[in-house]
Amino acid sequence: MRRLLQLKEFGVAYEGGGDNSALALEAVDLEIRAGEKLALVGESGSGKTTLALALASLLPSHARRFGTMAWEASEPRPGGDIGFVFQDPGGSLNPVRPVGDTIAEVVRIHRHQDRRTAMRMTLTLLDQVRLPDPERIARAYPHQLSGGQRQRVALAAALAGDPKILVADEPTSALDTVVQAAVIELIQSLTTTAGMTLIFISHDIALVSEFADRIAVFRSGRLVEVGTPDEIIFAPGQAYTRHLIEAHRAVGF
Amino acid sequence: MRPLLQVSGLTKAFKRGGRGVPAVQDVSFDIGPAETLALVGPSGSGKSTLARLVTRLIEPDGGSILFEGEDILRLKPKAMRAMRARLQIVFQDPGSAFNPRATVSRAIADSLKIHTGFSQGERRTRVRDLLERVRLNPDLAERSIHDLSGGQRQRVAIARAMASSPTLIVLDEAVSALDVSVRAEILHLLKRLQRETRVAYLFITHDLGVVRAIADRVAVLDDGRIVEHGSAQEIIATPQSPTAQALVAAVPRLRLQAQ
Repeated sequence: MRRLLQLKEFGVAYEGGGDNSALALEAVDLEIRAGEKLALVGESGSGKTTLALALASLLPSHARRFGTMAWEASEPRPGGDIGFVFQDPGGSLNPVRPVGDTIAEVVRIHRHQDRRTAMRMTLTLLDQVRLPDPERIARAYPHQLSGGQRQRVALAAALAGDPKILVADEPTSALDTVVQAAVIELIQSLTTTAGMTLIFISHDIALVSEFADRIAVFRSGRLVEVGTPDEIIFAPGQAYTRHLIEAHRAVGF
Repeated sequence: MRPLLQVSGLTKAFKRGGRGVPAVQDVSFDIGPAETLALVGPSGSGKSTLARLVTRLIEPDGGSILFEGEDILRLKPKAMRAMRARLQIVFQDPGSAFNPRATVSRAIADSLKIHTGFSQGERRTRVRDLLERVRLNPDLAERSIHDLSGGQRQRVAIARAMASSPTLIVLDEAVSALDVSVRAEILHLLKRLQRETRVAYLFITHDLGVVRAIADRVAVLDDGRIVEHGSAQEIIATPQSPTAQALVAAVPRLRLQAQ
C-alpha cells in the first residue's frame, strides 16, 4: 500500500487554562497508508481524538503542534479531501436548515456544481447511506430524524465533498447496538467501494477488530502499539492492550 | 418467595399531534430480592418510559406496580417520597443528574438528609463510608462533580442511590456512555454492592454484552411490548424473536481467529 502520511515525533499541546500547557499527544511515530482502514483505540484522554483533529486540520487555535506530519501529496483540504463524522451528528448539521440544504452546500462548494445538480447529487448521497425516501429526508430538519438517521445524514454530508479520507470519531457511541452495527457496516462498505482511507476512532477494541486493517492503541497521549487485528488481539505486545481486551471480555461476547 | 417488585399490565401512551401514541403496552414482570432483571430493547422500544413508570416519575394510563407488597400508584405524595428511599434510579448521564457545582460529599449528603434522620455528624461519617463502598478516593469528597471523569461521576451517582439503603435500583442505561474498560469496572462494582446489600437491579440497556455481564433474567422489549423473556444465558444463546436475534447479532465481537 502506498504511504499517505508519515508522523514523526508528532505531538500536540493545549495551551492556557491557567495550568501549564497540557500535552495531549506526545512523540507519535506512525505511518498511515492510502486506502487502509486504520482504527485509533484508547480510553478518554488517550489522545485519539486529538490525533484525528490534527489529521483533519481541525485543532483549536490554542493547540500547538510539534514534530512532523508529512503528507505524501499536498495537505488535504478539510471538508473536500477529508470528511469527518463525529459522535454527535447534531454538531455537524445546522439545526434550522433542512438537512438536504446542508449537504447540497458541501456539494456546491467542493464539487463546484450548480444548485440543481447539487440537489440531485444530494439525493444520490442520501440513497447511498441507505436512507429510505431521500426526498422526504432531504426536506427534514435534524430534530425530526432519529439518532441513526441523523448519523447517516452526517455521513452523507461528510462524503459530499468526495473526500479521499474519512475520519470517523466515535460515530456510533451514542447509538444503540443494532443501529451501531448497521452504521459500521455502511461506513465499511462505502469506504471500501470508493477506495477511501478510513480513520476510525473508538474506545471499543472489539468493535474495530471486526473491520480494521490495523489498530493503533493509544494511552495518555502516547501510541502504545500498532498492528493488524490478529497481531493486536492474539499477540498483544503491551500489558495495556491486554487490559483493553480483558475489559471487552468482561462486558462483551 | 414474594417478589420485591411486581408489575402487571402496565400501559402508557404519549400525546403526539393530538393523538395517543402507545409507548408501553400491557407490560408485566417481577423482580425478586437481590436479583437483576435486564430490560433490553432497541431505541424507541419503551424501555426508558418503563424506567420512569416503575419509579413513578411519570404516571401510567393503566396497570399496577406492587413494590414491597404495596401498590405504589395509590401512595400519596408524602408516602411516595418515603418509598423512594428504597426505590432509587440512576440515569445514563451522571452529569445531568447533579447540580454541576455541588461537591461529591454534598450530593451524597443531600440524599441522606432527604431520606434518613441522621444528624450532620452522622451524615458526614456515612458519606465517607459510601465513598469507600464505591471505591472513590476520599480526597475527591470536596471536589466539584463537574471535575470528575464519567466513571467517577457514575460512582457518585451509585453512592447517592445507595445512601438511603434501597432494596431496588433502576439503572437506566447507566453504563452506556462509558468507555468499555470503565463500563467493566462499574458493572463489577454493582455486582459487589449487590452481594453486600442484596439490592435488586432493574437494568435497562440496549447492549446484550452488558446483559451477559450482569443480568440473571432478561425481558426483551419491542414497540412497547415484552416479546421474549428468559434467563440471560438462554436469550443470548438461543434468541427466539427477531428483536432478540438482532440484538444478539449486533454485539461487537473480538475477531475470533486469525483470518
